[in-house]
Amino acid sequence: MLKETLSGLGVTLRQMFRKPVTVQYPEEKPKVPDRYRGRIILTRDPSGEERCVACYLCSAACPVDCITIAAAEREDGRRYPEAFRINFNRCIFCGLCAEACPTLALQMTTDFEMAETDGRELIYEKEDLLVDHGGKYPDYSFWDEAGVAVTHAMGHGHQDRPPSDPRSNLP
Amino acid sequence: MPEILFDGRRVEVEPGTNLVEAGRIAGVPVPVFCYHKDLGAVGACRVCACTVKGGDGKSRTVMACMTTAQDGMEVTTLDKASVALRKYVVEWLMVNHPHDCPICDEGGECQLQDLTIACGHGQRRVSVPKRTFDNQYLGEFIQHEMNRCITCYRCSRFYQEYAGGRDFSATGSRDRVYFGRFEPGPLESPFSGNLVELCPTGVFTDKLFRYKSRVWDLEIGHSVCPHCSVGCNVHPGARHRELQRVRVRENPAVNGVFLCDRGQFGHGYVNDPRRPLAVRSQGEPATWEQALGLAGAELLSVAHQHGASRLAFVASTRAAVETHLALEALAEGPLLGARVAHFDDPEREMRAIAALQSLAAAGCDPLEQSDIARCDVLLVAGTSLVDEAPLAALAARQVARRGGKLFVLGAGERYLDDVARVAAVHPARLAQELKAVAAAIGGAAGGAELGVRATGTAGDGAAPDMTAAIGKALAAAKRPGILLGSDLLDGPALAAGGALAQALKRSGASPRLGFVFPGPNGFGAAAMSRGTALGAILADLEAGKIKAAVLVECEGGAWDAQQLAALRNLELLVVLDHLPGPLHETAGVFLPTTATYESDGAFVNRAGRLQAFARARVPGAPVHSLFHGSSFPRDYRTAPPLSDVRMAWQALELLREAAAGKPAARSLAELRAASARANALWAPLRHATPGTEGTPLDLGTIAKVDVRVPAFAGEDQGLAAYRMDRTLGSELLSRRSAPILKMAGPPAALISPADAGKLGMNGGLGLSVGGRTIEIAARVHDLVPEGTLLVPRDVEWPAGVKQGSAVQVAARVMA
Repeated sequence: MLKETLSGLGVTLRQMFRKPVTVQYPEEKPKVPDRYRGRIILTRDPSGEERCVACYLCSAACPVDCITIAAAEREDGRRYPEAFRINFNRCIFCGLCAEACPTLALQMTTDFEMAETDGRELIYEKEDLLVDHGGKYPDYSFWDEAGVAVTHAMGHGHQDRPPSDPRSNLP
Repeated sequence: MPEILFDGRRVEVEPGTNLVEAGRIAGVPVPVFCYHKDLGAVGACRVCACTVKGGDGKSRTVMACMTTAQDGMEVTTLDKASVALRKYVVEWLMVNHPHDCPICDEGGECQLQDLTIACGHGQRRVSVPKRTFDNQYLGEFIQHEMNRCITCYRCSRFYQEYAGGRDFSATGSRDRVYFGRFEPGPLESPFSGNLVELCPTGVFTDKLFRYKSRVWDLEIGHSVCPHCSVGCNVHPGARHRELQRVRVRENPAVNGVFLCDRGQFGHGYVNDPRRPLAVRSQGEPATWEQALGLAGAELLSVAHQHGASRLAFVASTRAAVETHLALEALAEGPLLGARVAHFDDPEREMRAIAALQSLAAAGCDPLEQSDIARCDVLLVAGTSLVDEAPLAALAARQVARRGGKLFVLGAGERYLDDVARVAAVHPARLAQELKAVAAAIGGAAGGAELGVRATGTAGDGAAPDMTAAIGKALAAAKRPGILLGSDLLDGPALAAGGALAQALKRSGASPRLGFVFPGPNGFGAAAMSRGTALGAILADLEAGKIKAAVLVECEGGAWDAQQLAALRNLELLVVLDHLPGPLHETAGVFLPTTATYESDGAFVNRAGRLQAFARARVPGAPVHSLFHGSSFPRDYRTAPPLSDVRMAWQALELLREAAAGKPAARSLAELRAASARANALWAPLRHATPGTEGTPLDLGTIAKVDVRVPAFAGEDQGLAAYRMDRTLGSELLSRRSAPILKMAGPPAALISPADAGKLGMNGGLGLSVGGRTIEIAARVHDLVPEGTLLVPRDVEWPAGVKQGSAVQVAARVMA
């Protein structure tokens, strides 16, 4: 009985002289990895245009249905989200949406300081999500690879050859 | 019957079955791109590869679609060789495929996507530049994106071979085969919408649905198209309280897998911002309880004071069967004796009822939609099918393609003229021609029975040898079919059509007879009519003898100014509808009702097939109309705005409860059961289920009704005007859609070359008819009978002018 009590007190004494791991938040901030799944942003491509093409893949992937999108077409033929909403009351920060995004528009940042007292403030519209940089992938532009004539003439994308003429007799 | 082993399963198939169909029977889905059961097999895509061990014991790789099942064959689709071949074929197809799935509307329902993932591909292993094409403007319905093409040829096979279109084809060779028009421009075929469904990739997509939603987000209903009497089955798709698209739903007994452009792209009226969605009573917004209370009390009071015969209840052919039944039920109890009409157009009412009587009296099987293509001899008379019932025209074309004989005795035929023997027949002569055909069937005996005069004059109408040829062909046919219109038929012709079928029956054949009816429910409306009630109602209305009226989904276009004015002087006018219009503004009580795609109900198609439908969406203001700037709405409510709309049959039941005190049917099933009990004709209603093939009504239970349709005035009356639908632009619901109007163009009357020459016509005409002058564009058409003018129904016409009346015509130069 005495041995067990002394052994337990010894644990307490040893811990008293160990260096504490507590991070004194908010004066000290924790260091998080670059891949940390924090606040979600919509990024822009190198030309400065928004990357999102409103393909609905993120809203389909989301396990809690927190993303709502309405797609539209710009005058130059570019598909874009007229309205894009993420309800962060529901979001579980799993990252499936960012993983699904084919244009690398939707990305997660290291920012986790999003707390609000009113749930309505946690419904982010496009203007709350859109940033003016390319996030973790500054060089990728989906429209260069897509094979449609929106950001460049038909046949002048990265993977394309100029348009074929089906009426030509030449090989 | 050959018996084969398919992936280990033993099946017996009909001789001549290819291995794809044999696989389907065995329960094995063989992947295909170019094979289509209605378009045939071409073996272009190579994706249906399978291994066959024949009688000699040797195994070969064959294309399933091009191989006929032979007795004793052993087929495997999952062996290493077949799987590898499929995998490589799909990889080669993907070499040139653009990286545009995120922005392609086909995503989520793309057969190429599905097969690529199924074959396990994820990356393009070569870095060869991709071949590209310039796209074409193909009209307001179809978007063109040629880079996505995998050269399966389905589009050109359908458009040229199946649908007979001339302006779209394949050009080029090798890896640069191009599917498009010779020059960019609207696609001319009224069946171009099928390209969207047929194309296995996203080359042809629905322009009206462009960039709206993904298929997995849509609320999809099982409904029936409300734009004509064929009754094609559809899948309307809605999201965020907006009807976003209409797709075909397969029904082997009706439309198969095809739809026409009117049905696929004519849905704009559902989202029309001018749609009335709020109850109004005496000019002010009101609640349902207030409006129903007022209307019910007024109806009861009129019945007590003046008698129920001073009440008029009118519905139209676009109302569901249950709506018509509820209207009949309203005229019971204290309102017994109220006058009920099931049509809102007196000319169409008498023709539809006469057609139904002729069909019922003929005593032969109805010519169902699916029967048309199976006929070996088909006679089409008194109609331009592509304008009145487009899918029936598409089916009629298949008769000729399959080696059968197709005859047309019509006016204004412009679709079947390249595959049929066509004669332009003046509608006033049609009865004679049909009698001549009947005479040619029965020989001397048949002629004497029907009291036929021989058509001696060769002038206008069919030559005597043509009617003889038609009669002989029908008599010798194994599966003869007769399909008649209704708008262009007079009493004698409607009767002669039925008599012709009877003559065929007497000669030992089993003919099938069909008519075109107005609206999606013309047959149902005719089946419920006990006579031509509307004419008498309109006369009494004008004479001030009607005191109160309930109008359900009516359009006042066929009513003249005096009749419409008389509506304003009624003690009570109750209007139920979902379309905006002058009637709705006149109404003392307006009750907003649902459109077809928002309703549960049933229609009866032109062959008497009862088809139930279920709604795709609830009505209400679309979410998009409530946007904050460009963000989704942030309003907090208990119900969507403008959603307090009822189905028409529900509203009528509630009105009956308010007027007569008898409790309203609480569900559609209850209403249907009550109607089925009351009338044997509606027995199939009890089990009517949306999403099934539908149930043919028993023609033997249709009550005999006396109806007299006058004969058209003879052909020597100058120019006689006949109003007719046109494929796009004249049908009431679809013509509210801007893309449909743009593709239809302004209406033009059709005139024969001889008459145009006599008038010195140069693009336009001025018509004096019914005391008014109408300026209209006009076009010469070879197959318009001399002495007639075919006027599209969307041209505003003075009411009360009978079909086939003579008009004074002068040439005009159109700007």
